[in-house]
Amino acid sequence: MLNGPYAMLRFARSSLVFGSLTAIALSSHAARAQTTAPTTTATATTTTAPTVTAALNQSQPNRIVNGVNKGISTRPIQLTPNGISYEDCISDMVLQFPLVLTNFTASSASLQVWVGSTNCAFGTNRGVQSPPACWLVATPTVPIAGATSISQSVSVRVQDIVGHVTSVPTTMTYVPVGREACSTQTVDSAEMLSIFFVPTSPTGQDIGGVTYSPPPIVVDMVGPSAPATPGDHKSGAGDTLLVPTWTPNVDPDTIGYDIYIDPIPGQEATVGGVGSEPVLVCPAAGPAAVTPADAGNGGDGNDTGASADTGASIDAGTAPAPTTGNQDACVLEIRGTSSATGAGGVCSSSVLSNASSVVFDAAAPVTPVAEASSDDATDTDAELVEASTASPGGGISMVDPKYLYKPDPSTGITVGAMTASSYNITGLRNDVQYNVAIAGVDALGNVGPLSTLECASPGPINDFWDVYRASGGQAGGGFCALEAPGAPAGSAILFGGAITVAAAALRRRRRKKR
Amino acid sequence: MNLSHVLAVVVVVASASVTVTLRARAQEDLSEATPGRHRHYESPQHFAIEFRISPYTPDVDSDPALNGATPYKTVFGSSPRVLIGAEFDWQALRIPHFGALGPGVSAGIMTISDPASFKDTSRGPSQETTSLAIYPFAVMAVLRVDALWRDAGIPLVPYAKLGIGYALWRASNTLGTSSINGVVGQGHSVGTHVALGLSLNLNVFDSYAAQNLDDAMGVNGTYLFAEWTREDLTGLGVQTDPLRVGGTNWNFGLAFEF
Repeated sequence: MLNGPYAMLRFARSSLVFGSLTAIALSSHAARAQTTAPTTTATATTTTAPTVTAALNQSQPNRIVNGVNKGISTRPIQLTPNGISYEDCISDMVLQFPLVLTNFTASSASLQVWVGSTNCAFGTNRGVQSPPACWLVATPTVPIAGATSISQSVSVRVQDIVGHVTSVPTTMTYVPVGREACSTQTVDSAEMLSIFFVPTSPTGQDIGGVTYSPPPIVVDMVGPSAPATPGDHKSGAGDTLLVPTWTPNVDPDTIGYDIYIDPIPGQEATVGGVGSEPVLVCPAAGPAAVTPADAGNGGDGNDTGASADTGASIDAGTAPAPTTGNQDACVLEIRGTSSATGAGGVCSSSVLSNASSVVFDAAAPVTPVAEASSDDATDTDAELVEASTASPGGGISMVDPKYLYKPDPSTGITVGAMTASSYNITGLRNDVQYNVAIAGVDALGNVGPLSTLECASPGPINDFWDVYRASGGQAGGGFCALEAPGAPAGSAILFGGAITVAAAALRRRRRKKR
Repeated sequence: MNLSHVLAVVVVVASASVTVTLRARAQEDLSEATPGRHRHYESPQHFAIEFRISPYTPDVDSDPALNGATPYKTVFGSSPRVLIGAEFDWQALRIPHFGALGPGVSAGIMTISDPASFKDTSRGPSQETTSLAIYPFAVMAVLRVDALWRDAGIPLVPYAKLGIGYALWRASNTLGTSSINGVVGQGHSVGTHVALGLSLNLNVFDSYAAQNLDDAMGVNGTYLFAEWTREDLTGLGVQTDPLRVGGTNWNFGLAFEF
C-alpha cells in the first residue's frame, strides 16, 4: 500500500531503475557498444520527441583502454588531448560519451550511433533510400524511461570509428573492424569525423528525434615524415656526448622529434662494461632467447619481440640451463642490451630500423597550407587538419620505447620544437659506438618513421680546463675558493676594501653637503 | 709590489682625492658652472660614464706554474677576442686649471668559445665546445686632465687610472662548468689595474647640439677615447697561481660627463 506522495515517488523511482536494469540485462550487446547503468534525474521535459543531449559536466568522452578509464585524454599534457591517434586505435580504445536521454519509449525509439564526415542526422546519409555516407558504429541499449531524463554513457570503439573512412559499408548494419582499421590511413592527412547519436525507429528510420553530435573529432594515425640527417651518417660527438643533427622537418604536422639511441645508455654491450650483466649464450639449438630481465622476473610486459639478441641466452645466475642443444657450446658473456653491430663509423642497428615496423605514406603531398608554420601542440583540431595536409613520407614508427632517449614528461617527446636541428645526448660512455635515429612527432603523439642512422663514438676531449690543469695550472676550485691554502688574506676582502673606501668617501661628502 | 704597497697606494690616492675634493666642491657648488671658454652655460658636472670595446688576449700562458706551456694558445689560438665593458667615475675633486680626480668602478665581459679537439688527435675537432668566460672588474682612482679643453679650447683630455683589478672567470664545455679531479674550472683573480688614455671631446664638432644635450639631459661633454690598459691579475700577493685572465689591451669607446 502506498502511503502519501513520498512513498509514491519512491515507488516510481524504483520502478524506473528496475525497468531500466531489466531492459539492459535482456538486450543484446549489438555492435559491442556498452552502456553503463543509467541514473534517473527525474527531470520532466515539455517535448515528446526522443532527445539526446550531452551531459552538462563533460563535453569530451572518457577513454577506456583495456577496461580502465583513462579520463578524457591519454596523452601527455602538452599534446592535443582530443582526437584519435594510431596508439589510440591500436590499443582498441573505447570512447565513452556521457549523455542524457529523454522521451525514449519502448514503442517509439531506439538509439543509433553513426560516424561520418557529413551530417549523419539525415537519414539519406545513413542509407535511407540512398547509399550511405555514414557508418553505424553502435546501437546501444536505451533504458525506457518515458519523459524522464536519464543519464547514460554510450561507448564506441575507436577502431569502429576509423575503420570505414576509406570504404563506407553499403548497408545500414554495424560492421565491426579490428586492428587493421589502424592502418587504413595512407596519407598524412588528418580526417575530421563527426559522431551522431540519432534517435531512430527500431528499423533505423527517422522519427523526428533530437540528435546529438559532439564536436568533430580529428583522426590522424600517421606520424610526420622522417627528418633528413647528414649524408655521411656521422653524428657529432664529444666527451660522453653525442650531438646528432638533422634538417628541421618540412612536414608541418611536426611538433617535435623523438631521438632513439642504440645501445641504450647504461646498457652498452662491452665486456666488463658498466651496466652489463652476465648472460649464458648458447647456440641456436638452446632455449628461446631470454633476456636477463625476462629470466629474472618473468618479463615486465615491455618486451615487444624486437629483441636484438641473436642467440639464445639466459640469465646465468637465475635461469635454468638449456635443455637441448650442445650445452658445452654455451659461453658466459657479459653483455648489455645493445643491438648495435656497426663499428668504425659504419652505422648499424637491428632495432632502429624502419623495416616491417612502419606504415609509410606513399601518396603525393597535398596542397601546402598557409598556417603550417604555426602548428604546435596547442592547435585546435581544426587547425590540425589543415596542417596535416603535408608532405609524403609519413608513417608510424614502432621502435621499442626503451630506446627512446629521455622524453620530456610534459610531452613524451625528446625534443619539443619543430625547428630544432640538433640535440645533446649526454651520459654516454666514451669509445662506444652509438647509433641514433630521429623521428618526427605530431600533436597527437604519432611517431613518424625513423631517419637514416647517424652514429659516432664519444671520446675524451681537450677542453681548456683539461689542458690548463694538465700543464700545471693550479687555479680553480670555485668562486668561493678565495685563494690557495696558506695565502695571507682574501683577495675578495682586498677588493671589497677598496670599494668600501670609495663608499665611505661618498657618504662623507653627502653628509657635509647637508 | 706586494699587497701592503698596493693597498697603501690605493688608499692614499683615494683619500687624497676625496679630501681635496670635499674642499674644492664647496667653492664649485657656489658657482655651479665650471668656467669654460666655449660655453655660456653648463650644468653641474660630477660624473662620467664610459662604454668600451677592446681586443683582448688574457695572459693565461704567462703563469710560471705552467713552465712555458701555453694552454690558452693551444686551445683558443692567439687571436684576440672582444671585451666589452663600462665604467662609472665620480669626479669627486675638481682641481682648477688642471683636471678632475675621483674614484671609478668598471665591469666587463669577455667569452671565448671554440670547438674542442679530441684527445685522439686523429679524430679532429669534436662537436663539443670549450669556453672561457671572464668578467673583469676594477676599482680605481681616475685623474682627468681637462685643462686643455676647459682653458685652452683644445678638445683633448688625457687621463690616467690606477687601482685594483678583479676578475671572475669560468671554464666550461658543452656539458657545463669544466671539472677535473674535483677541481672545478671557475674562480677569481685579483691584481693591479693601470690605464692611460686620451679623450677627444666631440662637443667641438657641434657646439649647438652639445649645448642642447646639456640643457636636456645634463650631459656636459661627449668623448671618443682610446685607452691603454694593463690589468696584471697575478694575485697581488694574496693569491698563489691564480688564473691570469688579465692582459694588456687597447680600449676604444664613448664617454659622457654629466
